[in-house]
Amino acid sequence: MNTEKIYLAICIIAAIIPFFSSYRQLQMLQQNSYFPSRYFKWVYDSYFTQFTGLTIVFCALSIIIRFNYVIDLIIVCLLFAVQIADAILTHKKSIKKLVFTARIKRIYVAQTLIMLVAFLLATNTGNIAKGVFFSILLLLSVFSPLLTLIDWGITWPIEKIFNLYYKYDAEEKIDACKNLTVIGVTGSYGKTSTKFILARLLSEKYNVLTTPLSYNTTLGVVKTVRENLRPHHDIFVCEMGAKTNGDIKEICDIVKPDMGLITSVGAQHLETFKNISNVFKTKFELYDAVKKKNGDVYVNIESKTIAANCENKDCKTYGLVGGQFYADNITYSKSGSTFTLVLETERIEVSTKLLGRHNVINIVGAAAIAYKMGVTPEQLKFAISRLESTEHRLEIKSTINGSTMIDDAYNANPEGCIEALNVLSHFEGMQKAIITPGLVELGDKEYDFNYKLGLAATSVCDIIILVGQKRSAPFTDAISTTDFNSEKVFVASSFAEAMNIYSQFANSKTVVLVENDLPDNYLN
Amino acid sequence: MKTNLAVIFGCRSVEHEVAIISAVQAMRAIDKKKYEIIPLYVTKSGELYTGEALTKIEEFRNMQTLLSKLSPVSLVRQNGGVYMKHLNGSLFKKKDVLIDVAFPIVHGTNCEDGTVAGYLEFLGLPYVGCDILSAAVGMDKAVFKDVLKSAGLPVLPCLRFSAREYNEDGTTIIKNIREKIGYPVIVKPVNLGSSVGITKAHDEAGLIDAIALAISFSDKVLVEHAVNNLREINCSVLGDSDECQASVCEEPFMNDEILSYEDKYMGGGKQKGMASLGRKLPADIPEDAAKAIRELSCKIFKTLGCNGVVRIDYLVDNDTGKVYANEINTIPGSLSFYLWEATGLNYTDMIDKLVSLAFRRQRNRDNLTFTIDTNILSGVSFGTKGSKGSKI
Repeated sequence: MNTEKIYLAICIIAAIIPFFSSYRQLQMLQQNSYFPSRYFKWVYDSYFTQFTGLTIVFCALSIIIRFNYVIDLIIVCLLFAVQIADAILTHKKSIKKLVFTARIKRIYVAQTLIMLVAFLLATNTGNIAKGVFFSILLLLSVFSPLLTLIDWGITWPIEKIFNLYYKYDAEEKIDACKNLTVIGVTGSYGKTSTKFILARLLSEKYNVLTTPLSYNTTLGVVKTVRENLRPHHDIFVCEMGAKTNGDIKEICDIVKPDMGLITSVGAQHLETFKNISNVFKTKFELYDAVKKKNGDVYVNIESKTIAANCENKDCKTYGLVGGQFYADNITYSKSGSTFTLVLETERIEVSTKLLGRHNVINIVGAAAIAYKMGVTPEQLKFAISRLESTEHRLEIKSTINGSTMIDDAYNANPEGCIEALNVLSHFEGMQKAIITPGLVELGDKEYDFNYKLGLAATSVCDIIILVGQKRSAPFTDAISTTDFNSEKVFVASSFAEAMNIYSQFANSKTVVLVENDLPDNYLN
Repeated sequence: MKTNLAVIFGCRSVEHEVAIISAVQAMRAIDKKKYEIIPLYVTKSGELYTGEALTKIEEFRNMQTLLSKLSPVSLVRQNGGVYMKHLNGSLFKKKDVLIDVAFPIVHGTNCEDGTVAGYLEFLGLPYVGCDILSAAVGMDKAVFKDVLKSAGLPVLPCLRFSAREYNEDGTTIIKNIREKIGYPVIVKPVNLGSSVGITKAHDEAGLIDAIALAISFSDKVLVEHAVNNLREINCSVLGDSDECQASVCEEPFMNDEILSYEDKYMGGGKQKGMASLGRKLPADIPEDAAKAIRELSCKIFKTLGCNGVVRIDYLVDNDTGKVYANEINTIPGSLSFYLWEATGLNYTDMIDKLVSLAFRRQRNRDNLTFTIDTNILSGVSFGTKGSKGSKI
């Protein structure tokens, strides 16, 4: 056979191989959110172990095959077959398959262009250059992570341009909705729950769009606006998250909020913010944006940082006491919380399934804005009574022998635990129990905190059931310093055993708090 | 950006043409600045078409030419929304259109009776007007009367039987009618609107003819006592089960003894629908009587759980002054806009109000199913040999 033809055949096959070999690579790039660093971690961890042998064989052979095109052709054909098989198997077996998004399609186009250029150079240049380009073509063809990195590099500026366009497009869309009221919600804690409560209250009167789940980055907001905003929407409730200075401003520049709600300023993301004053400044970028449109900003003055810094700002304040909007006479029972919602001159008796101080605060903040937007007290009262609690977050359930369970299994924060005990203490006239393995992952503060939690539990509970022999030490130490009846303290080895112990005491007048554990598997 | 409003009309119904008139009228009144109208015409054979031509009544004179100007479409739900997909053309297919809300303007069985509402519910598309149950109850005159009767609202005594029952033992049925209801009687096919197949019978011979006509339209026949000295009064209600208001009352003129199909929709030869029918508006009745009818209308509207705009037709016995609810139109001809104009609400604003009611109902539904997201089947498998999945 003619060498020229064999050479051409090798080049064609080599140029086609990446269509298949990059399937797995792009799948991993996509699942690593297009971060090359994360993707290369995968290449380093997994890809090499699978393909190292193959690559070494190839490198050795590539030297030999320069002298024999027939062997070369056979190797390339083998590789081609292996890659097709690998791509098909990967596609069939993967649970999370490669999604052919616009971005992936753009990457495929870029890759096709690269391979086309390499192919043309390898087949249409002089002898010496030809050798070099032939090697490059084979290298790109066989070592797909390299090609993927080049694809990513070439499309990166294009993606940046697309993102800019998306932002611009979202901004245009917001501007075109003349009757749309945008409400920004931010804060270190509680912004997602407050957003959903606010949306529920407003939906009594308006068609409301919210950023879904806990979407709160610029791109998340842009996506929501571009895909979901429709002209019949009256209000857009936009959650705004920040990891560094300017994040909130960036979102505000796009959505131009007419009202704002700041739920808290706390020590979150300090690795990027450096100090809490930067957190405050960033959250209050929402304030600056709203004031440009002469709107109202509602702030939670139960947050100490906010209370200390908002005096010289024109804010509406809400909280549990002393704000312009607050909750009075809070009581907890097995049907939830009941309180008087005070909205300026209006006093509304409300009840909700939601428990706990933070939920009450969130409801007050959301109600303050909904009230301002013209939702009537009757509508607020109804909507608040219909709010659903988040799973495993102070969620009320009924359990063994008609007793009540406060499922706070997902709570892993010290302040939250103390608050959960406070909620439990309000269940007057009921026998109170707690089931907990204590908090974990608190580092050197762990013993101290669990000791404190133990002490707090003795003053609230009648029965204490600890889960895990080893983990219970700080609790038993704490309990032994009090006169708490040691016959009412139990140590179980598993949650199932704990529930078993609890069942001896459970009746319709018992309430059990499950703290930082997962009871679901045992409930049935 | 405009709200994409799909006006669904036509359908496999004897009142197909009436629906076309009502829909074209409505499309002319819709605020074009706010809404992008997507006409969705359902042919008599049940096929779905769209096209600009559907907004002009002249185009309907020749069905063949009209269809050649239209393109066949289908509604599908995907990516969390409902889209209109063009069925023709493969390479240069027109883009799918996102529908925000549907506006069914259909009359009669196979559509107004909850069929279209069910179709839209199934798609999960917000829509204007009554839901499945209220539309179905409203369509069946006998069930409508039963429901009102059990709610303590005034209806005339009636008797219902099927064509088969009549065929088997007609004499007993006629005897029962004579004894329990008494002549004169009105004979109606049970589930048709627009007074099709309705006749008044003064004696047995008339009754037999009337029943023969009625069973040619429907499997079930309703016979009720006719009020001798009667007036018909109609009243429209707009709103939803939380909040509704009633319009001024009208008194339609009768040519024959009963308002016939010709009267209702072909009055004067020009096809202008209900709006052009002879009537006294507002009805010439004392204000307190009108007020009582308006209040009764709202009660009926809420009892049935209606939504949108309906028209309730009453019979008033001039001798006793008693008012009886006779029937309800859950999608009234011309959407009763003339009654609302007389009440001070123009057609354009009325449609806007109807669309916002559709969104409001959707919101209330969305609020109910806010958190049910977990798949209880994840991890469940049937206990086949060797499998380790949990049992159901």
